[in-house]
Amino acid sequence: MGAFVMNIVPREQVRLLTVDSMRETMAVTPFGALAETLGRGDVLVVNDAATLPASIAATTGRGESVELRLFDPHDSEWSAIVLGPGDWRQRTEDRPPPPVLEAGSCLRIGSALEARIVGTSTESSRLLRLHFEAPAETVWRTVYQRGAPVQYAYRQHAESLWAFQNVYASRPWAAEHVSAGRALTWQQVLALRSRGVKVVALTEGAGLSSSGHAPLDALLPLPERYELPALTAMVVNAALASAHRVVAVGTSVMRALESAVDSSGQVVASNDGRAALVIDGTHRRRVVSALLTGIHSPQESHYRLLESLLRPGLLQAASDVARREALQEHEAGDAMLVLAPPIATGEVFRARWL
Amino acid sequence: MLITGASAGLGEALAEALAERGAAVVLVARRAGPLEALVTKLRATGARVHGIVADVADKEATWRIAGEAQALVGPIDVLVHNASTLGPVPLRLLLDTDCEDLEAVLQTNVVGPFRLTKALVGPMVMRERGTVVQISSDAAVEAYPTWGAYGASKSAADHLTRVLAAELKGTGVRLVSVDPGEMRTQMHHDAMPDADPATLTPPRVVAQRLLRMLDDEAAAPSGARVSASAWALSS
Repeated sequence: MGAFVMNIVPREQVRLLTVDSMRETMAVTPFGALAETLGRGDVLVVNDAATLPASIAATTGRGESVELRLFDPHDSEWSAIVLGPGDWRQRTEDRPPPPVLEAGSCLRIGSALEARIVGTSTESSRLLRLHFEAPAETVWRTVYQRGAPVQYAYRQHAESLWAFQNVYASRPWAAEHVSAGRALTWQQVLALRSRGVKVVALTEGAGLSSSGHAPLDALLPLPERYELPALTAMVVNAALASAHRVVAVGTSVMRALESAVDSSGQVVASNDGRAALVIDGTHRRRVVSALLTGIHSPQESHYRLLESLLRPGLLQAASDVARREALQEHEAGDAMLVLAPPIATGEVFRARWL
Repeated sequence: MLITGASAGLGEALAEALAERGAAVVLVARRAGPLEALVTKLRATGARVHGIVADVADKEATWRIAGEAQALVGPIDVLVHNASTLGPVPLRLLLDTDCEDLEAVLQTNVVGPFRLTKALVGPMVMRERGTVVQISSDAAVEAYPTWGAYGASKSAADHLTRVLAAELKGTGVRLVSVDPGEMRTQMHHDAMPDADPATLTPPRVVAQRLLRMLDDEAAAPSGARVSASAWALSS
């Protein structure tokens, strides 16, 4: 197979496609125009999960070498997808299948760490739940010493962890870069705040984007752990009450916010939430009225999520503009801001938007 | 809380003082043996302490430190840049200092802390709270012969702290530089082997003063460069 290389768009050169569903307009601008699109009272919610060095070599009890892609760290239990021989230069779908691993068997990571498989998915034996006997300190030390960030076959070179972190990255919960926030610099975050836009965070353990194994990929995105601080819930609820925009930076934030809303329409703070929603055109949004994301093609699950924000004709038109303007797809590409009608009804909405 | 250079001197004393307060503390140091001994000692008292063996001058260690620390104790509210090197000793005149030695001092005393600040201050801004303490020296402001590499590095670190404080004004994050004064440490002995230890302040005393400073935001506001001796101890 020939090399398939895509350009990495430097953070400072990212372009922004803004799609306004109420005005039915589209514009391609430098990313910095984001600050001018939002105003006092609007809220930008980011996912502050740092990227794990999730790709790590392991050995089965039979001496077979495999690659684990770790995610969902939770005390002594982690999840993993197991990949067969090869490395990141090959697309995952082109790699040979891994050996079948059974619950109860063990995997060795380096000399200091052993993981026991405590569960495998009924849909795919490549999806594992692992238990580490070692103290958390040893587990994290080994992961950072022996792991590497998940790389992408369309890139020319492997990148260090620095390339996969957002400026506000905090706890290492994300198996892959939460790339929707990649172009946000402190210049922009502080500019937004100076305009009266609230910028707040939640932490969502964004999982793997693909395994290369169709039955497993059909399950994605899996339920993901999130933590939604009280400050974030308060700010989002205030925006909802006043019919201001709630902008999710990335699909992981949208899943978490839409999963965190209670029957009264209030977003509820949580230390251990689970974002299990799979959002598509049938989803009735209750929190998120705008999404900052990458440029997605119709084959991606993220595209289906966009159908909850844009009517099909406008979404197709946006794809056409992205193609015509040669906007770059993938994690290190350009960006799209989708503005849907704010979540509000009656007088509050009419007073602010009509 | 996260303290670099935590296995000896002021870092060790700060670790002990914070552990006594019941804080969850992450200690970072290059030398595994002394760090593990300190962690073991503090845990025996019931303290929530974790050790990370790392060199702050190593760029690739930055996200390992930040990631391990936050995975183990959650978001970091207080970051103390205490790790420091004098460069080669005996200290020497600047014109006798190899360029590579100056670079190494700047990596440990300026660039490394700057990287760690980049990795840990972002979440503080998002949470609208947090404190970064840069341990400085009077060599940052006084032109002592033979202290050029160290003094220039501390001066640079102080100024980074001031500029960051200006840039982050109003965010809820406080950044201060602290001159701890002359302490009875191995580092001081390495720099000034003929100094009378009786004239030097024990690190545990400075550590207590630093904790008081942390509590006293009005007297040590963001952007300030303060002297630890300004916080008298009541006992």
